[in-house]
Amino acid sequence: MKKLFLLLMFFLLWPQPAKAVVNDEGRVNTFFAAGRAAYTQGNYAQAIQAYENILAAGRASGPVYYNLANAYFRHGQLGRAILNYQRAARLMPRDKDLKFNFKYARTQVRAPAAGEIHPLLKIYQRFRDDYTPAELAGAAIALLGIMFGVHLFLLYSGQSLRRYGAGFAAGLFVLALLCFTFFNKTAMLSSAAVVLNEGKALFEPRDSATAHFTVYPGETVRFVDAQGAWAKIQRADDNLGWVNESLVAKVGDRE
Amino acid sequence: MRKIFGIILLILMMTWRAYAGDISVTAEVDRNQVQLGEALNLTIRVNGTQNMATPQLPAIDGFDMQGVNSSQNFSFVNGKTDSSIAFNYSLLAKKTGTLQIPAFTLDLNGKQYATTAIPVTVQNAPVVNNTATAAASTASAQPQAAMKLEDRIFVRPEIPNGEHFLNEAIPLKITLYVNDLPVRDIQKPQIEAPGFKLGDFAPTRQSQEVINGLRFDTVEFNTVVYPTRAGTLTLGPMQIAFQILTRRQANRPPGFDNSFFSDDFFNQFFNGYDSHPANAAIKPVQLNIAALPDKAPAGFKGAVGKYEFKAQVSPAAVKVGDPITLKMQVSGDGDVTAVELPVPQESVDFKVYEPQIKFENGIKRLEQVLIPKTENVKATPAFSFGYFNPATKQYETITQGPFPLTVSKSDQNSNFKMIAAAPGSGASVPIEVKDELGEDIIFLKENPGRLSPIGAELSGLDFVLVMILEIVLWAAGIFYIRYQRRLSTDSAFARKLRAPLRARQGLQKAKLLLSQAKDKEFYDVLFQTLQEYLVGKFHLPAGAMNAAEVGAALGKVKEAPAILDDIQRVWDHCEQARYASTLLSGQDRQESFERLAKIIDRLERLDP
Repeated sequence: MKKLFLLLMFFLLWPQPAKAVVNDEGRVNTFFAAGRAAYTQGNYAQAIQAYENILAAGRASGPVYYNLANAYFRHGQLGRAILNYQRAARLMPRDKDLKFNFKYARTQVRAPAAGEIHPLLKIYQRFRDDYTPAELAGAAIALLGIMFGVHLFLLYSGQSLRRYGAGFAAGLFVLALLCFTFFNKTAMLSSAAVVLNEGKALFEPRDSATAHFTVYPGETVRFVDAQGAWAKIQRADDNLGWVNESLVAKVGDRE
Repeated sequence: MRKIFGIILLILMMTWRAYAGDISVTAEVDRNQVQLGEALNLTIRVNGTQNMATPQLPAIDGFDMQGVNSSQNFSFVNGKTDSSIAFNYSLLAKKTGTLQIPAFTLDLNGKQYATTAIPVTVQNAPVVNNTATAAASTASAQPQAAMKLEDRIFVRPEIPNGEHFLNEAIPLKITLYVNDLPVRDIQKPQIEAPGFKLGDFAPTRQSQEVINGLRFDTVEFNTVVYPTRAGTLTLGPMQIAFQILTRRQANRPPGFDNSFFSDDFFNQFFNGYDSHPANAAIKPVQLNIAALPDKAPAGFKGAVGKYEFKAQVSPAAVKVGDPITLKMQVSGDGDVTAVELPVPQESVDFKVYEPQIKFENGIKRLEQVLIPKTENVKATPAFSFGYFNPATKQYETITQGPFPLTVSKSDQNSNFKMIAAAPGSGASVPIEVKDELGEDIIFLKENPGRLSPIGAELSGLDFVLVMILEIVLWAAGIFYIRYQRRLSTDSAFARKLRAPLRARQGLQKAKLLLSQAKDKEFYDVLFQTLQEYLVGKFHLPAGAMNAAEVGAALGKVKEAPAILDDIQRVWDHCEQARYASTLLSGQDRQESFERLAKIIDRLERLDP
């Protein structure tokens, strides 16, 4: 027991990682301030570099991606702007500024509009988009914990579970919804990609293949498959095509 | 080539023949008897040439020239060519009686050619019998004296007598009188009215009126004129444009004139009707317009007439900064569209917004938002509307308010809301103004927020593992609760569970006594430990414990005989220690202790 306690204390009080965090935060704050200053002066390339330095240091946050997206937008790189707005949305999905800018940036995209979706599906999508996977998972875990806790309490106090059957059924429904949304969102994020530059999507993964459709910067597509330097993508209108891998960037990729 | 030459030669010969031939001029009418308001055709035909302009005829007494057209004729028969041009003049009969189309003189190539005069009789009778186009007239059947067209269709204005004032609404009625004439497309009167503002025409009224024994169809045009300056003003001339219908005569083949086909039915079938534009004019009317008296009241802003003015505000209880809607309306017999309502201006008490003014159904309405600036405001200002009443020839004033208000402190120290009219709502509900500005992205975030390592996001596997952990904990909880419940309800289970614990405690105590060489106490503890263990382990009655009971509890366990033997030995040593403790050596005590420990260990392993 004593050994276990000492081992725990060793890990808790080990000073080295704490120092590293402090150093990282200091660098990040420096880069962040530099990016803001460059952006304010209209030097967007420099601002981009400053924010990219933060990501290169292995640290990220919603505001970092948001500011980087703004800098790309101002610099005229619509594709990268939308990519980083989407990355920011993974971390702070309910941020109003982000929603506004993202919506505005999307109006600049020359992509074909997706078809009409059912109003119920639209409500579900809004719910899904407003929460991060961690929040959905946390809510599901908390809900399950509460349900188990209530069950154990009822068991301990000798009360009948039948009285609370409706509550448990509702809880199970919400739990199922949360779990489904979590897996749906993680799957969606892992396959979402953004077109960085205008190009042609081909029928086959070779240079001489026939062009199928044009992709435009900022267009959000689904990354279906990869083959060598080719990426198979699916457009909003369900058309599939092969593009050079450098033409798209996955939202979930680490840069 | 020869053919072309021949054609050119032929044309030249024809032209030469045309110029060189004899020229003659004739005038003719399609009929000598027409009815008042009917048109006849006068044809002036020039034979021997086609190269001439349309002759301009002088005015013909009793006729109104409606239009002219021309037609050319050319014939080539047996080498002889004839050419002519005919000018057809449409003449509308304007008065009854025996009239004459005079002789005309035409100048052609320096020579004078004269036509002969043509007598025409214009009768006062129905112009057409067609029931679809001609009004049935009782007057037409009566013998009448010679009438002009102006006597059959004319216009009369009606303006109230008396003194008129500047800006007063003066009703003007213009009536078109039509006696037994087919008139169509009657236009609204055109009025020249310098110094007047003309109102809109009310819907026309049609009726009949008998004048001098003749029944007239009447069309009334009612409007209002507003003099815009004082002095003697001229209203008019006024005129009404319309179309008069006349029967078109069909050109029947020779020989059909008095035949079956001249029947009325065929007349109606074959003959159409021509419409001729005409108008009826009225001479100007002069009006004396008086200026308004001096010493106008404070609320007077030029309104003249008899008016009603109302105002109201709502709500009466508001907070500072909240909007109050002021509504006013004015109606009356004057120029309501031009009246100015007493619009409140910005003051120390109220912030005001642009009023919304509408005019409909003769009522001018105003809605305006007032916002009290302080809680010291107790009432709105009074709203006074002044006007000059021409009937009484006096200024009159209607005052509404002041309206009491209860203004309390605002909940928040916010600035005044921007208020504007909701589109199409008549401004009854104040809304926040949305500036029409361009769109752009919102500026940067000021701090980097909570930084996390890239890729340190919860994966699906993590989520599943945590959920499984929760399920395990839940299952453990259920097990624990059930275990505790059994402990509290099943005494045998509880004693059996506690037996080894208490036995270990007894062994520790015995070990201590063994080391202290307290023989008697050692065996007492040893016996008690063995007894309690066996009673607890096998749920035996404490007083009835013996080897047979323990053997039965062990059942058919393979090691039962050995265990029973050990129990018996420990038991014997304990009995011996009570009565002859000196016979037991230290080795015996150690052996008894170890044996008891071994018994407990083996029974715990076997868990029978």
